[in-house]
Amino acid sequence: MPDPGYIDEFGFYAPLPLNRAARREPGADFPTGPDIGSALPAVCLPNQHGQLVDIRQQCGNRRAIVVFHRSAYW
Amino acid sequence: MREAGYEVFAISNDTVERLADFAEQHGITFSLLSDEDSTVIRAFGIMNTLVRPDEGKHMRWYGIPYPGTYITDEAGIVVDKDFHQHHARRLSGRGLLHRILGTLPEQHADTPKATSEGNEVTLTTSLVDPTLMLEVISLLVCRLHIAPGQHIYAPSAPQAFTQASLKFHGEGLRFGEPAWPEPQRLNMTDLNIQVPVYEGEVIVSVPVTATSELVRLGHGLDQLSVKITVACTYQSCDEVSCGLPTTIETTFSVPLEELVEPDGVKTYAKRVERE
Repeated sequence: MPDPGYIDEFGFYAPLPLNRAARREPGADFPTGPDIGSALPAVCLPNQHGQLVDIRQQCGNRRAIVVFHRSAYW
Repeated sequence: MREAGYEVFAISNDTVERLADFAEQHGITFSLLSDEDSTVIRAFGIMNTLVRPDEGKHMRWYGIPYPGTYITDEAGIVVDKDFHQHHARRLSGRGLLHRILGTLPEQHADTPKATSEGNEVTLTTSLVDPTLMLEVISLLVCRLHIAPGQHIYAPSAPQAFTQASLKFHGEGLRFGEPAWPEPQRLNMTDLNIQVPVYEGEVIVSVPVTATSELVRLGHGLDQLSVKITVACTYQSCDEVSCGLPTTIETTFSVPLEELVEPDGVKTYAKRVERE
């Protein structure tokens, strides 16, 4: 059974104490960015190979799934 | 996702070097984009402001986004988005496809499933994904095959009728609300009412997720699978008579799978185990 000191109010365990910043969860009204029906803001960023990727250009006539995540390191 | 006509991009405030290591280690071929100074994350208005600039500097905690997913059409317009209050929750790949396409993914040979036959009704239950992972929201699909000429009463039928219902159980699993399809309306001329019923095949999907009671992040798997039990209660009738209310049950085993975990998580977990 996981140590209760590592289990948050949602019942989620992570190997980090609850008082660390990465364990803080927002209220239910947290911001979720652009609304449905609006244009996705421009995104031009380097990829894992160091090459600049412009999402609109890369998609051409295809649709996109754009995932924002916390970290690939921790 | 590419087969379905979508380009996939993942954005974080990780450095290019960290993303390169991660992509190589896990064989990731889609674009991992580095928003090192969180310019894009801020432009989207989704920076996690609960982290102060002086916290977790080595891990780059400051500048992380509230995690979530946007779906755009061919013109770059946001047609859907999926955000959850808890950072660990997200849809599975097939769960996301179901949400985007509005249809259930095809059943695969690796789909865990079970069937049970009752009075005029057969219940088949399956998972859209081959495995369950911690806090990844998959879909449990319940198919009710109702014999020709028979109907069952929908959950929205008046209480005088035996409303069809589904109950779910799995140790350490969390189930969401089942999504029942729109019922048909049966005219009951004697009673002068229309009653919502189902005939033929009814497909009900319900979100299902493995919780920390079952899988602890960073610590590997304590068990390799979990049992899911689904119980369906209904009453089947034809135009003149009804059978007795019946409950049928399926139980099947679903493999558990570890998340693709960054190295840092395992480091934290080892530290906890030493305490």
